[in-house]
Amino acid sequence: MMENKNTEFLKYLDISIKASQDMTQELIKDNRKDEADHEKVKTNVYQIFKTVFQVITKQKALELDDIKKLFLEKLETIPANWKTSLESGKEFQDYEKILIEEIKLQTLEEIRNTFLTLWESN
Amino acid sequence: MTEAEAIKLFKCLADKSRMKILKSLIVEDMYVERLAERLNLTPATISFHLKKLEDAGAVTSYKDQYYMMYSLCKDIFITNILDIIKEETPDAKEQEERENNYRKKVINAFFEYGRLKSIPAQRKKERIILEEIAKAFENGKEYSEREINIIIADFHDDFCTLRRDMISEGLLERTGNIYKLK
Repeated sequence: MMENKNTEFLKYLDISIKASQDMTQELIKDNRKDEADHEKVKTNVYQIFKTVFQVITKQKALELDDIKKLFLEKLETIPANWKTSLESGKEFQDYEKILIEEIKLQTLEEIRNTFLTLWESN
Repeated sequence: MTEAEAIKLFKCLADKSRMKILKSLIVEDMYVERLAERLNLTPATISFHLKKLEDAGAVTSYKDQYYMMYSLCKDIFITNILDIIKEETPDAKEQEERENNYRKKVINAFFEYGRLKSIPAQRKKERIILEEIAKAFENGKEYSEREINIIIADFHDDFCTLRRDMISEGLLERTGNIYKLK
């Protein structure tokens, strides 16, 4: 069962990475280079959490609950700076920073929701 | 329009979403949310593009009740492209423009929201940073060491190094315990 959940979650991340990379290419073709760069930010977030998840699941003797606890911890600690950066962006009306940090945090939320839905399902 | 301004404008226009924003604004002035709805983009993306267009001089904004409205700067689009190409930039002006661009680049790399991220190792870059900090001092005003430290500490915690470097670079002068801009 644990193997299934791990595989499912990695599959979701891989599909998301591929979709985001495809979207980047589409935006470039559509002469929307800046938006393509912003889409790349999204791809990076998926890749970061894919690596984090793989590192956690490679540790021996971890139960489903241990994986959940460790991964949720990472979902809290890694974006701490993103939130600070978003606040300072808003304070100084730095629209590019606001947009980038919002994309990162929205992608993170999507990853968290998918992870929880998958982990809490039977 | 200077050459640098023209390049900035052309670069800014070479984007489909920004073109669509301009096409909407040519019809009427609009606010971010309305543009977002019309163009099916997020308000944050629209704000990002509007900022670029505003910096390039293509749009301008004004407050209307609760909304920040954006309008097209028609004058800039009436300018003949041939006139822009023909415009001659004197060597001195071109050099000044290059220096200003370099200066801006260094300032953007080392400052974030008015705070110095780190002290540059290269003397040329540090000089630019120190000149930027020196703008916080009033010309002719005399400062105590404590006052100087407080002002510099607003930029970076290592105020001692920066204060000493400002003296050695000839930006500040010290007589006894009194400091002032040179």
